[in-house]
Amino acid sequence: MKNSSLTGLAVVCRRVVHIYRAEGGDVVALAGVDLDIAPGERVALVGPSGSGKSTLIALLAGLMRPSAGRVQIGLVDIGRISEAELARLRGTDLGVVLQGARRNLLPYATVLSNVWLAQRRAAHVRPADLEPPERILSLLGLTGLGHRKVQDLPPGAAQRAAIAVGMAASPGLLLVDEPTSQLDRTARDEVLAALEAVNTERGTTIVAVTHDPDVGARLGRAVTIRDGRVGSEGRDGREFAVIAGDGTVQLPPDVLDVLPPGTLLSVEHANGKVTLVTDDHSVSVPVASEHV
Amino acid sequence: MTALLWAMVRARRGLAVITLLLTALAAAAAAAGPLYQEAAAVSLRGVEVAAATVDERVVTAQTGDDPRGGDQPLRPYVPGMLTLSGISAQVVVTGDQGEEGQQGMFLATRTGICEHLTIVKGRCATGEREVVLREDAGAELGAQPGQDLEFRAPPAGSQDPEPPAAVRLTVVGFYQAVRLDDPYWGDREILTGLEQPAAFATERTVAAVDGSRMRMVDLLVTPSAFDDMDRLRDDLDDAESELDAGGFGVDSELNKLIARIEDGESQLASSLLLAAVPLVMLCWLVLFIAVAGGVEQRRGELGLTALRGVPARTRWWLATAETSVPVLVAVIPGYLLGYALTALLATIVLPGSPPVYLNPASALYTAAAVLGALLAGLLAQVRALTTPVLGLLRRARVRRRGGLVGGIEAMVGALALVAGYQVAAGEDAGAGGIGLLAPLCIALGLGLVAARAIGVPAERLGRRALRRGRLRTGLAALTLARGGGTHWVVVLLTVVFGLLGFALSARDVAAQAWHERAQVQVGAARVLQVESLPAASLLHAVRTADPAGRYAMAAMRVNVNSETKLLAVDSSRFAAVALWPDAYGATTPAEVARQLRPAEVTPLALTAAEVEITVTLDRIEPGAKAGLTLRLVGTGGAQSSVRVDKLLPGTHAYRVATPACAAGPCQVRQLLVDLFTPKRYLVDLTVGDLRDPTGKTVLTGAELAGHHWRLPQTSAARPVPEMAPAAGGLRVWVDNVLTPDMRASADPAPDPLPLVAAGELPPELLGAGGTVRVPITRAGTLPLVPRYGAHGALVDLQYADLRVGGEGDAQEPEVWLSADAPADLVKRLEANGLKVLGERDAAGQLHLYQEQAPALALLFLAAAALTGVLFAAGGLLITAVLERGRADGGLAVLRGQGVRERVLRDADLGGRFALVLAGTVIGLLAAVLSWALARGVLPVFGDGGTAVPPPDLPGPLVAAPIAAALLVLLTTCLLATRVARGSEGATS
Repeated sequence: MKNSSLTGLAVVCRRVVHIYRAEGGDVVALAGVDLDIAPGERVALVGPSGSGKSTLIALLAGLMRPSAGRVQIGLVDIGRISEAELARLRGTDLGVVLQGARRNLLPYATVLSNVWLAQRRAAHVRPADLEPPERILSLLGLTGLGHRKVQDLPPGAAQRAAIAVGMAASPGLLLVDEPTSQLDRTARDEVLAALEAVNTERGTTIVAVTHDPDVGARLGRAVTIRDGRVGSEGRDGREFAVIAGDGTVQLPPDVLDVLPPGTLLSVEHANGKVTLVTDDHSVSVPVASEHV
Repeated sequence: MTALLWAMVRARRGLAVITLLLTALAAAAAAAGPLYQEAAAVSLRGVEVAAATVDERVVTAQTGDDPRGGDQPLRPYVPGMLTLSGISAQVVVTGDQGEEGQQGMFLATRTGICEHLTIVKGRCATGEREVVLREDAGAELGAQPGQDLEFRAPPAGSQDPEPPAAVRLTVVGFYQAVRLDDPYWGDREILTGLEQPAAFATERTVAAVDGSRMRMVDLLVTPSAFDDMDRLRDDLDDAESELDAGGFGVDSELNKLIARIEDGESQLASSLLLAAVPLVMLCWLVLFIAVAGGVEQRRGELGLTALRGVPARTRWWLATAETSVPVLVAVIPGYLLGYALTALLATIVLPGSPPVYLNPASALYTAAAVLGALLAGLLAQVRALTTPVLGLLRRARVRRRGGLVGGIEAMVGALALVAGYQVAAGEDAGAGGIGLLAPLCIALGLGLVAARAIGVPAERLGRRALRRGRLRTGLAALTLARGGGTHWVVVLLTVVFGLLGFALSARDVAAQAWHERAQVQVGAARVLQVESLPAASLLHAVRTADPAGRYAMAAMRVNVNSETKLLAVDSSRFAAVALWPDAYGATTPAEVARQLRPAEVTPLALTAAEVEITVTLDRIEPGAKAGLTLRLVGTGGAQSSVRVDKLLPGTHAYRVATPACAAGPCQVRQLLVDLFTPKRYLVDLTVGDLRDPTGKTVLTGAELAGHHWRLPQTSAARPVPEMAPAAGGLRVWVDNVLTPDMRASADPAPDPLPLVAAGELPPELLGAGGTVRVPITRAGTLPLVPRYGAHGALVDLQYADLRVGGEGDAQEPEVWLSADAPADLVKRLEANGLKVLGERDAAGQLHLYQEQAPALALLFLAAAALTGVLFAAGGLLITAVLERGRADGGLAVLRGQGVRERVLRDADLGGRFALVLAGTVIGLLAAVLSWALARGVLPVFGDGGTAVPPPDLPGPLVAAPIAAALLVLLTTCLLATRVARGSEGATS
């Protein structure tokens, strides 16, 4: 059953910049990210370590405020709202699952207690929409494990329990950091199936950070973050470069191998085709617009 | 919620138990103050009542035979006091020897008499016409049990032709002389038989004797009377009014005792309640450290609840419940623990082992302590609950700069220091009370300031050591500088050592002061108060009883009109008998004796039953008549005068009887020329040899002439004669129109009179009943003098007797005995005519000081400070336990970077040692500072006496318990390192 009030939330990032202030000098983690995620979409944020994907998900979760740019969840610009409003948002519309299942759960409490705790804000704000913990657990394939203590759960079940906690308040957006790391294949499949179930059943928008390309492939849309920007995007097995809001575009790594930094390119646009041509015409990169 | 909460508490049951235990201890400490105070007050009443003089313990009332009393005499009732009534009549008892053996006695009765008499023969008088006699009086009368004796009132005078009718009473037993210090007798000489022995009979028997009778009503106080001072005062007023209305004259010194007990109780109340405060605060501090550490452990969980957007109220409740539930659970066990510990302490250390009762004040204090514990717990988690989510979710703890919190702590520290100073400066010396908080304020202030300040040099030292490759030192110093909660442990240790140093110093100094004052105030190991007698008799009796001069010394008070009091001692025995504590300084008692008595004096003495005095009367005013009087003092101190009524012109020998000098030498104390003249006072005579009837010269004229004679002070209105040696003896002459004072005293004592004094010397002494000014000089100075301390002086007893002693008895005569005095010495003294009225001893006096309010308060203070050491050890262990659960892994993370396990262990241990040593040093510094500022507030003596000031510094032995405390804490460090590293070993 799909509840209209539980449909997913759209995510919009516009020229999002985030700078870490440090004693040795500032570090630019995100250098102008533009990203649009439609309600109910499943997106994987992929990219090498240090590329900025965790920073991006922390900004989406409201754990940090962007140094510049706009991060909008649904209709709310979460860079501008108060801590109290942010807390309300986290308690109702925004589910966050941190990396490492156990970090999301009170280890000594039962799965049900954990879900119960995560529902407190929603129980207060919109009690009518609150789903019984048992139903959430059944959605995630945890039926019968509700009274087990978290510390006694196997890794796959623990990760699903973490997602259950993230889903407890029936949020419109679920942010998941590395949902499948350190899991065996079976457990990974269980977790991905659970995420798919959540998305399918509830229309929840899911954004997951992952190193695993298979996860990206299963989620359907994989946004690669490179050097603090959206580097490329894979959809249905195809890889695309993405033009940012400022008109810039990151070339794929294999193109960059033949076009080292400093290479001068001329952009030739003819017959609906865009071609990048080096100064000496030794290399030409035809760029075809999908629409063309 | 409950399930979740229960799961939380169960998961961290160690911390829950620690919280429960610490709160229980805080509650116990808080309850202990008022509970101990009440028990100590009961104990104090017992001690003070036992130590009080008899007249301070009784209200005595008497009247002539009370016809209004009728069959139901007045018996006022005051709760806590025993009402003793009785009547007495003066009688003359005639035994078998008839009028020859008549003896004056008091025939008396008193409530419960038979329970208080020790019957040595026969039984107590319980029936009508029965009487029990004192054994010596019975022996003198030659009475036997069963014998009838005649009792009659003494004749009222020669005008009364009819002698009072006699009553025949049967002697049924003999009793032992009663103890004068037994309060039952109410200090009544009639009953104790000081003047005349008492015979006891029933009231009807006494009433049967004709003549005047005295009715007595005495109220004898017991410690329970002081339970409610206001009620006691009211009841006493009522009783006195009732007695007044009944025609009784009331007399009592009870108010002095009431005042003393009230002072002691208020001293206890203020001191003890405040002594518990530091202990409670230490508990709070340790609890704060424990909860803060626990919160640190569950930062992740707190972050998680924030991440889930759990409402603030639920977050706070979840965070605080884990602390507040054990805190609240601890209330009743803590209170009962406080009760049990106080009961144990009271049984072991309080004089009389008073029972301990639960009281409302202790419940109130417990509630305050628990409330404080709740606040401490809340305070410890405020920071975590106000940290942003991301900060809580980070695994590595971010070190905060000192900033606002550090500034506030430093400010609170500075304020505490100032408060400590003000509290110390604002209190009266020895007042105790709020002043006792000064050490806590000072230690807390210094601890807060120093704990913040210590980080900078420690960090610098650590960095330098690391640069030089000294890993252990470097890491240890950095642990001290940066360790989580380190500075609170430094504060805790500072407070603990600050209080410990102060409390131990206080107790040590007080113990020294008690010891010194007991020795100074009593003077000798034992001091006997004896019945009034002339100074010469006292001196003679003591010297005869202890001819070697090793065990006994005569002493008496000399009246002086100044703040400085004067004690006369027999210098020849002073060194052997007087106690000589260090407080007297470097001067030895032998030196003092020499200063007091620079030269032996040889009084003019003669032995003869009759003497012939050769007097040459050279000139006399025509028509005048001259006589000569010699004042003599016999060996036993008996004074007598011999007189030649009329001197004839020319040289003549005059025979006078001197029976007092027959048995032994008696001193010629004064020579007086009696001159009766119609006109001018003109006489010139020479007193020559004194011979006994056999013609032997007992005192030559030359001896008389060579002796030092002191004439009264002269004035224009009161001339004195002139005296000079002449060929035949001592020439005395006067030629004046005014009446001369012709008394010449034989006084070989040095002039001015040498005194050894502490403090101001009195300007002069007055002799001969205040008519003679006696110049004095300071022969030596002592910081304190026996008996009178800082405001007193000593003089040689014989000198004083010769110079200022009149014809009266010695003031407050005493015999001082050394500790090794033979057992029969008192009997020998009594055999020489001394009647012992009472006894004091230095050990008893010391014992009293050790049981009075200041001692009870200081004991609690020291016990609280020592308990503080246990808290500090507990605090160290708690931090170690909490380190086990640290998310950042502590120093263990360095193992991954190749630092050897052993180095890490040594650095860990070194860090803890450095922490303890830093806390100890700062704490001792705080103790020194507190001592310098606040030692004056210490209550040392219950009466606030300042005659023997306490020493400024404690003895070296104080260091021993401090060293032991340090050792305990260093050992705890070893254990703490094992505890903290135990988990690392397990998880690595």
